[in-house]
Amino acid sequence: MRARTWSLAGLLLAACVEGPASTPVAATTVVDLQGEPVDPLAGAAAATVLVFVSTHCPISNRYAPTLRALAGTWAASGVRMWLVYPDPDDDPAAIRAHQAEFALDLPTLRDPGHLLVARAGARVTPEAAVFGPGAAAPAYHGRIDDRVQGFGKIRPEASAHELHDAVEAVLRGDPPRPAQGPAIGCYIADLR
Amino acid sequence: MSVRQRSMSVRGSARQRSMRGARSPATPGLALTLLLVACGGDPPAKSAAQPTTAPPVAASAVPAEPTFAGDVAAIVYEHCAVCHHAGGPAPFALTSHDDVRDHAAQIAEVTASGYMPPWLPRAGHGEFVGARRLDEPTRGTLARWAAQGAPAGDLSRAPAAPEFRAGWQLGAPDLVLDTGAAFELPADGKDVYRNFVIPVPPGPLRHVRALEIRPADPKVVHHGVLRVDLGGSVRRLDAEDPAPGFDGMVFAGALMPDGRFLGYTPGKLPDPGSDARSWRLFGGSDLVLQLHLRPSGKVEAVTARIGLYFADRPATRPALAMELVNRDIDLAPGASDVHVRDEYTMPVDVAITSVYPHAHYLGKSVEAWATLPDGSRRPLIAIDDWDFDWQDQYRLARPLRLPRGSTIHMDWRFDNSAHNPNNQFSPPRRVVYGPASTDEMAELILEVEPEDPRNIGALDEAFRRKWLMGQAEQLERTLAKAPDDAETAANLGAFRQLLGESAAAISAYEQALKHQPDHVKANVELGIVLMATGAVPRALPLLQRAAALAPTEARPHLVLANALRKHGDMSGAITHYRKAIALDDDLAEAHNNLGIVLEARGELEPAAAAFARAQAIDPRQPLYGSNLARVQAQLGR
Repeated sequence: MRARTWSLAGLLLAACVEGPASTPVAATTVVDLQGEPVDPLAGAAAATVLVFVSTHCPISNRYAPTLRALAGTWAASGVRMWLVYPDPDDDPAAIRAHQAEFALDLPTLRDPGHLLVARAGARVTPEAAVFGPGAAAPAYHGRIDDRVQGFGKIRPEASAHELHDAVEAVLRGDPPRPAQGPAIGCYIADLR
Repeated sequence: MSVRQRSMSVRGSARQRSMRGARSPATPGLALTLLLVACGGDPPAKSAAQPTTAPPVAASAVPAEPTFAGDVAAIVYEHCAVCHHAGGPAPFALTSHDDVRDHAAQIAEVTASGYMPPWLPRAGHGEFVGARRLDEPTRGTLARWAAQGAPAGDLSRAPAAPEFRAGWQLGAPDLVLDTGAAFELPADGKDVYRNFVIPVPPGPLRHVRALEIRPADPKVVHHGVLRVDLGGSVRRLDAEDPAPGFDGMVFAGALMPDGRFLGYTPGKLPDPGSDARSWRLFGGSDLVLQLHLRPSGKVEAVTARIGLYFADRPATRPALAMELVNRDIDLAPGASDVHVRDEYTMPVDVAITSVYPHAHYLGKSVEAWATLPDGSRRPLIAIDDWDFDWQDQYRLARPLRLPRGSTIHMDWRFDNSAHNPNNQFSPPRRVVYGPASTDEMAELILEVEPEDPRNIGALDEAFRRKWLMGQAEQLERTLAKAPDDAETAANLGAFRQLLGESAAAISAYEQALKHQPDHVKANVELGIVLMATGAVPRALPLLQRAAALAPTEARPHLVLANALRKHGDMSGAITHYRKAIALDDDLAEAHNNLGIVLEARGELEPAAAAFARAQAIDPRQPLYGSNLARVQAQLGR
């Protein structure tokens, strides 16, 4: 079992090395709430988590307590977690008001040009992407967990915690299984 | 605050997509995205942001190139904005071009699937007030517009956004009541059903023509149902819960007043009602407002106001709430199509004015219809894709008139498989009948008017027997599985007693006492049944035992006192009436019966005081007043 995991990891790494060599990787430098440039993927964090959220998406808002809890879980384990607002209309003032309302006190980025959206392969809010140290591609992207089964269809509790498990896998050096989880939420592509 | 709309999408499995109307995968995004995502594992092509296939509709009915200004604005403003406006109950506004464009893909998706606008009844199967169904050309227009990139068109020619009147929709109420202190809805967790108890000020009987419920923040209230409690039971539950109101989906004895549905549904105009169909509001009674609350991610303060509009005369069209129900529900995990049925034959000519189907999350579909004595069939309602969250009262556009002998049929179907996206459990678990949201129910509540108002009593009594029999049958099923459960046996006895089946009641109580001789209620109730059959000497030891077993309960003393009185032991009766009163001074029956004994012994002054106390506790019981008047007459007052 152990041997197979290693061989899978090797395969994935090989595929990734090939990609960036022939195609220049797009910039992932976006701005924080002060307007300062930040590249969340440039650091040496053991794992980097991008969570795409919106000020007005009800499904995204409903995850505020879960995101707070996950950030607390990872506070001491070298995981860097960012909230990313991809809507150009979500300006710093709107984001600050939103974070005060939902008690979200986490490092925050604006991505109006959808650079991180493209890099993460994110399509809706809320959606998460997990990157290993120095990785150009997400080891996992998709839903936070499986509570939301459809619009208005929300289970009392999640039974699969894909984001949490993906981060734990990356911290162990394993590829997350699954590498994607079907996310349900507000379309990012409509936000122009 | 400028509320902008946001698009949503379902990036689900094939199962999820097929549940909401299949959609073809769209063209993948940037090549760069493709390459990078491939490193993460799976190809991304399956997730589609933009619907590319419009629903199959007649080509001529859908514009070739719909625009916001020319086509979409009118549709959205008419059908969506009633909830989706600033301050409205929906989570975002749809009252500008920017709003609507930003939600193009989601609008196309949720209208194609039928999730929005929320309207569950099947077309052509009953006609209801306030129907908000979109026809195929309308949905096709929205889908094509989104698929073509949501073009604006000439915005100078777009219709103006509608304006919504704030405040009471029915005008200034005659009386406004409110829920009092706010209930704090937690930021996260499961949905909450909170019952707010709203005391009606003391005063004369009034007749209510219409009622409007206004949540302070409509965004946190998914829907609401209002009932009335004359017995004080909701007040006690409220007092037991330290926070405002109490939890749960049951109404604890509160009823639809005079058979009328009262509720709140987002986007639905309150029923203006009529004097002919008013209901009675008793001073000192309690309204109980049950709100379905959905956590939003932050703590929310929940309050609501109730506006009442009075009629100046009693109803001339009395109604009855008739609840078709089947409690024999046992859904094995994985069972995907389980029928649960009930039926009832009308004993008099009736008109059905409203229907409210009720099941929980595993309900899949429901169909209800009437068969007439001549064999013909009339549709009542059909819902093909049940959605617990959007349960509602459906008021018939025209009352359905049914002659005596017509039978109402209810046919619910349930899906407890993993394929039901509403299933609250993953993996599925066995689910049985019960009131909690994780239990299941199968009901069809009807608002029924007898064509001849004088038949309301007969209709009520006939239906009450059906209801009691249903309860008894359910308890018998439970008891068959657990024959030594004294509580169930005692409850069964109570229902047999209410049905007037003394022998069956005695047998059930004896079964309870066989397994639990100290069961207080079984001792008391068996004593009551035996007394009713004339066997007072057999009842007495049971009641003495019950009074000894529960020295702090008033009722055993009251019933023991009644038995002693029938047995001719008046001083013993007085002793136990006084014990009952000492334990619960609000026991009107104890005061009244004490008065009867005192009057028989010629002690008229204390008898009058006892009757007066009984009448003060329960002014609606005419017997107490007539007893008081008789004694006062003897006293020369």
